Amino acid sequence: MEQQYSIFELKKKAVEIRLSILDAIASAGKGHIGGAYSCNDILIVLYYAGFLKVNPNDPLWPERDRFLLSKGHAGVGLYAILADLGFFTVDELNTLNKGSMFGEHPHHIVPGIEAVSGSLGHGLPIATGMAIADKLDHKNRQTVVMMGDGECYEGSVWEAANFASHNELHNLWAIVDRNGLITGGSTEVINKLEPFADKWASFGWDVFNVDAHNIEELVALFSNLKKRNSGPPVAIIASSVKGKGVSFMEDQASWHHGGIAGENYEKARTELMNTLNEYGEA
Amino acid sequence: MAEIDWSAEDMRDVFFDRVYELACEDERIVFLSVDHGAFSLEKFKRDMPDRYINTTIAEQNTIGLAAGLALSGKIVYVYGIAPFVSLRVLEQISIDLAAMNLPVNIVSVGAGFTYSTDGPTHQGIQDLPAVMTVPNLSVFNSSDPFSTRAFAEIAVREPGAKYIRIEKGNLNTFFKDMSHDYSEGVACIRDGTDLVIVSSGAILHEAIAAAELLQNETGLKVGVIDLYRPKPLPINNLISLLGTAERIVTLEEGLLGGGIGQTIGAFLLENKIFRPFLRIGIDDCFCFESGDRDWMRSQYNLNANQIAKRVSIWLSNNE
Repeated sequence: MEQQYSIFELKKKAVEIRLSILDAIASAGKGHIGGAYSCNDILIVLYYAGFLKVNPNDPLWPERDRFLLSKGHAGVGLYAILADLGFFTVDELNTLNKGSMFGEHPHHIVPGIEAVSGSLGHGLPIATGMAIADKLDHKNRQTVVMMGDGECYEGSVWEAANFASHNELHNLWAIVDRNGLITGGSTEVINKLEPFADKWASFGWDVFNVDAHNIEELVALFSNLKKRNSGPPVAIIASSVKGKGVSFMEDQASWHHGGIAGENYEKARTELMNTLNEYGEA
Repeated sequence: MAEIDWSAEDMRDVFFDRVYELACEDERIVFLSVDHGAFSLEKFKRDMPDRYINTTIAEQNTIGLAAGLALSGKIVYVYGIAPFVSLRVLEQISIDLAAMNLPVNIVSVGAGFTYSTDGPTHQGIQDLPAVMTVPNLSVFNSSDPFSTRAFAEIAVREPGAKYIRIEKGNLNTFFKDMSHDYSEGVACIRDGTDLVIVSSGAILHEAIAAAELLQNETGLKVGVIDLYRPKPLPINNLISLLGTAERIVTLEEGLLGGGIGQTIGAFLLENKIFRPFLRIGIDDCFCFESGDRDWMRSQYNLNANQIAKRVSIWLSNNE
């Protein structure tokens, strides 16, 4: 089952999902809103523009594409999309952190979640195993893993990067949400990651830079990448803004994790509603 | 079943020959080696090259790969030296494999002082306590060719993640054939209830020799039990075997902290089997000496004579 939204619909959906995330975190009391917002537009394009074949009525459908949210702290963002697609209900989503299977980091017990995540540096090795399994089985499907840039400090990422390129896993895309912030501040001030794209290229990956919030650019890039049926794995360095979509959260490491209530909640909601209204009725 | 003599074979060959046979029959089986070989793996590599992957010296990635393969319907063996496929990747084993109950079998060679001249980095004295902490993970510790072969089969037959220790080199057999039911988790190797030694792995052979010495010296009937599957602990079978024991000693070629002895001690208390109890193993230390395995054991009072002497002194202090 593939969603085929237009660019306009994708942009509108991105705001709607940001609102769902806001409400889920407000209801839960706390959550990782900054990192969920920085990768939100990419997830929207993957799930609603036909780049991931999934089936909400059969989450383990054998022909599905596999998506791994290795930066598990953005789980609430993925939950919001899965709820919207019908893997479970929005009411269930709003049980986040309140005695349910929905925690801040996603587990495989939630429909639509492929693997446990939360500890960083696990997703790329698992995705690499999935991609090589599909190659062994001559299955033509995609494995996509979303990592944080801070996650790329983990050595396991580079163990997998080397292995995946050696094995020419063209069916593997690693998207890095390059928001430039870890809990303590800027990646470039604390422990430089640049030249980041060159590092991936030197490991033998085909590297693409993209604006993580430009829906047109993301659609164009994924459309081109979908045509590949051989060659190295693909690294997509997605330049993003932590907290994107709510002005006072943008580019602020302090919005990595926490609660949102009262005036902050109202301000965020008003901003997002204003954006949504630009696209017509909510 | 016909009598089989595998005592002249390397235990790795006993295990991997069976893995080869199973893989020939079942295309789901994939073998990952962290750049660690064995003679009998050559034919797997030759005959099923797509399903034999040298994942190189990258253990974290290897466990993740195994998880990804298993999430795609494969049954996976991961092979390497004990500390590198346990301590180094404990979080990966826990989260990537055990939490999702995936059919991945970590085959660990190097239990105890197997790699006796390679120092603490290569010793298998901490791996078992470490993996014993992982929920969902089954732990197997082979002590003879029959258990070694049986574990290769259980790896495919039983669901879930497993940590399987195999030996390198030869081991004498305890049984005459494969008729023992290895789902029991524990086996009585030598009868006797005046004193029972519970052991696991290759050190069990020292336990048997020590039992003989002790019986000759003290006149006590000394039994020996092979706890070849310490996790999940086979509680009911242990109650049957240890409920009648007068005195209980545990013996392990590994650290005492978190090991077999500690596990059995807790089991005895919880099941109200209150008996004089002694744990023998390696105290809280790193072993920097280098020598052959027998010599290393002797440095830590783990050969049959030393074990018998230790138990004998303990008996005289407790009688």
